[in-house]
Amino acid sequence: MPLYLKPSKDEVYDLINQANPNLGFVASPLNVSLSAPAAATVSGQPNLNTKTTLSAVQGGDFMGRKEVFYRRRNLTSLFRGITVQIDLYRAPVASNQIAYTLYQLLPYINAKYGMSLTEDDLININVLYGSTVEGGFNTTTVTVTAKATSMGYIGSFALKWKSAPQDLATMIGVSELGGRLYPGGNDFTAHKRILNFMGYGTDWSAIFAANPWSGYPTAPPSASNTTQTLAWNAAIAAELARQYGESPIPSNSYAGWTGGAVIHTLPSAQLPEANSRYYNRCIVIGTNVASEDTVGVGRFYFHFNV
Amino acid sequence: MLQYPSLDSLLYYVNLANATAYTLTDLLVSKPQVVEGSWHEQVTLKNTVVRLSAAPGSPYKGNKQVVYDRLNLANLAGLKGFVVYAYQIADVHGLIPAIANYTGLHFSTTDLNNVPLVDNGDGNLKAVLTAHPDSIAWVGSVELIVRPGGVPLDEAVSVPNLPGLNYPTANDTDTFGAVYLYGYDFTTYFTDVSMIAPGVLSSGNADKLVTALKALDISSGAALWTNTDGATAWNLKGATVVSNGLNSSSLPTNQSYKYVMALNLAAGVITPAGTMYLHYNDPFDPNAT
Repeated sequence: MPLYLKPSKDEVYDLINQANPNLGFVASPLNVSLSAPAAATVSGQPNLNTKTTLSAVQGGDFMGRKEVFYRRRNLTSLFRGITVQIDLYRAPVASNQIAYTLYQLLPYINAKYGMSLTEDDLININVLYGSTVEGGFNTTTVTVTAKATSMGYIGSFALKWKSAPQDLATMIGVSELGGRLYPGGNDFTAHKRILNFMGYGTDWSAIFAANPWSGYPTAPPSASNTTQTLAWNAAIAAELARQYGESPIPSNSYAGWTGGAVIHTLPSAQLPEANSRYYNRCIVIGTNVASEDTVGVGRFYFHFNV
Repeated sequence: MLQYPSLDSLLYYVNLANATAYTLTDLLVSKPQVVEGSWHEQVTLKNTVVRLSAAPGSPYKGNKQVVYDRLNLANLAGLKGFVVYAYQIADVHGLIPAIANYTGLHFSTTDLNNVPLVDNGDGNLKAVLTAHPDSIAWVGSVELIVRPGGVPLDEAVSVPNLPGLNYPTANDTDTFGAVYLYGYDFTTYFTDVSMIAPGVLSSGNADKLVTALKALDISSGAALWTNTDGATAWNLKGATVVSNGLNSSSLPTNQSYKYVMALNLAAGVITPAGTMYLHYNDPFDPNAT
């Protein structure tokens, strides 16, 4: 259990019951109300600094009233010598905008220091996103003050907030990842032809040079050409048919296919899977939905050099 | 004046009817007698007669009989608010203060027969209030359900100076070790911390702890931790490990840690004061899934 398990008001009820074990009933908010605490002194009892009046809740276990004295903890004393610091990431905001309110930080204060401070104990304040930076992280120090009506606390303490590194555990809210599938899905009973390996290992330089695609201003493709227009190139189908005994490309149209308009220069961060060791260019062509059933799924990689 | 004590009530009506100002010390009141229909050959609807006599020492003499109505207790049944809470009351006479507290009816022990309260079978008690024949104000009988409760706070709270709230140590001028080290995670020093057995720290272990404390501490003692003879603050020399191992919900510790070491600094080392708890977990294994 934490150092101080219970909210301070509950602690006061516990005190009443512990000091007066023969009440007949356990004093609780259900049968006894506590008046707002007030500063008080008791002769010969230097620890006592507070008084409150117990009043019976009507029609219940008790009747009447009784003033009792106890000690509210001084936050200044409790945190003596301690830099109360909460490290909690906050996405940067403009200077002097609110980073957190004290009440937002309260659960972290309680967890770190074993407290059970409540909003009834402390005056809420804004912790601004200030301009102070320590070790790369913004910090702001504020003074946290007990409410006059707190049943358990008086005084104040300095609270230092530090925008800590963002926590992966909270950043990665989706831990079940989707989308990593074979092209066309992992259900191979109804699987279509996967194109990714067909022609990947082929050096298409000579074929493209001899059979320039539409859009090349000159043949063969040159280093200055970075785009080309997709048009049916019978030489591609012929080479695929030669290697695999069939050409997946059934017609002379690439209409609606994706990606082929770009000639990627290798190596490319966008194409880590391309073979940049032996080639400096790659055209990637993906089928469109209408073609999936007849052509296949996935995409072609056509490597070549210029 | 329904709720007056019986004699006060009688006196009130004597004074009201006669424009007198007798007090209780002026008059002696005889035992009441029942009157039915007529009294001294005069028709009356009143049910009671008493003889009032001048009290010795009063400025009056002589006596006079008056007739009036004693009220039937039975009519109290069903009146809203005729409800009484009481705690550990055994009999009707014991219940009289509670009845006064809750209803204002100031019965005296001469008004009511004293009989034990009985269990009503539903967690409540039942009191049968029966007027004593000598009651000045009441006749008849009524059952009163006595609910448990009504403990007078001013009597029951006999210790109004409460021993708390407490700080972690008895001395509120201390720097509280229990709070001071509560927020630190010693997992990084798992190897050093977990190996330390309960008992007085060896100097080598004290040095290891000083290293860990200096690295983790961000507060006032951060640079001051030491393992030195005679230092009265931040000194691990001669400190005692009270326990070290699995955390327990019975300890005043952070339950999000698996292990905890309870450490007391040596006598004479007064800062920080009290038992300190060093929390740690199993070392983080980035390959564990």
